[in-house]
Amino acid sequence: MGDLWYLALAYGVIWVVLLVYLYSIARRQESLRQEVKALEEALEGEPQAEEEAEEAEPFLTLVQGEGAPREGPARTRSAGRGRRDSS
Amino acid sequence: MRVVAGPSNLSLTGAGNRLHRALLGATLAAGLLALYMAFVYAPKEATMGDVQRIFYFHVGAAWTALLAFFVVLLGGLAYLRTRDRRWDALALSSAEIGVVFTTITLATGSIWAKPAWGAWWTWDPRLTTTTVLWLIYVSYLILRSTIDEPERRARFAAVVGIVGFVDVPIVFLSIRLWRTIHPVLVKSEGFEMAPEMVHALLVALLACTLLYAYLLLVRTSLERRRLEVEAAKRAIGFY
Repeated sequence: MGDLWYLALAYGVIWVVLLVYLYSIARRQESLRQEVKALEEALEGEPQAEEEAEEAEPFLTLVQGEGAPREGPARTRSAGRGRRDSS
Repeated sequence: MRVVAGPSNLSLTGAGNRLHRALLGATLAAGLLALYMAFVYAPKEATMGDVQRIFYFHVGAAWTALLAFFVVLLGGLAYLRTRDRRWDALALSSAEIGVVFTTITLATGSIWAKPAWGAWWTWDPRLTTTTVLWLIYVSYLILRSTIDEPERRARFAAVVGIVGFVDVPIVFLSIRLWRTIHPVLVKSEGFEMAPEMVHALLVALLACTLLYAYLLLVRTSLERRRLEVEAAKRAIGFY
């Protein structure tokens, strides 16, 4: 093997090592971005769940009657908070 | 609701973004210039021929690795003094980059050794102490991954980072302290090479240092964002 082959191999190794490291940083960045997104969606979803529960309340009253316990909305609310408190 | 202080796409903003772009531009410019000088400007070495051109980035990577481990030392000391986890993030980022550059140093050195010494590897003091250095900081990264509690992890890592730095002066002095076949680059009379080679080496050192600074900025920014996400999760009770 000639000099140039070793030279090409050495510079090839430098590029490969650097590119692998940059790729690993990009992957970790993407993973963190997904985590942030999931967290933000979970936090945004909570008041939405309460709103949905409030919207559903008149219909449940119609179905279950005035005196019926409002299990549906209450469960929805507690589910929203439960996710926070559970861990 | 925003979980982290900055934008959720994890990009840098304002002064950080400008610094990021300036560093990237300077790194690319210095890198291209260093490649030009290593392959075109610097003359062909009389004994070893073209394979000697590995030398510029081999030394550049070695210098950068030692600089990176010095920053690990500083980050560790600052963390133990202040208990501010941003220092730990800096030390971790620098250790990771230091391992990358030490890997490049060992790999390019081994490739150069084959035509120069006739063997891919020899247990020469410089090669051995550099391998030990690589193992110390790989252990540092492995140790971090085995400890779950963040404060304990940062404290242990700081101690390993500080103690591990003891090997850095040993690596540097190994070619002076023991009999070695590794060339001594700088002697009391100065550099033992043609002035064009010295210029090419200095530009390669600059390019590697700028690349280190750029990678450190990107990696530290990622690590700090991760700390922010962790803190946000803790604050809203996700843990």
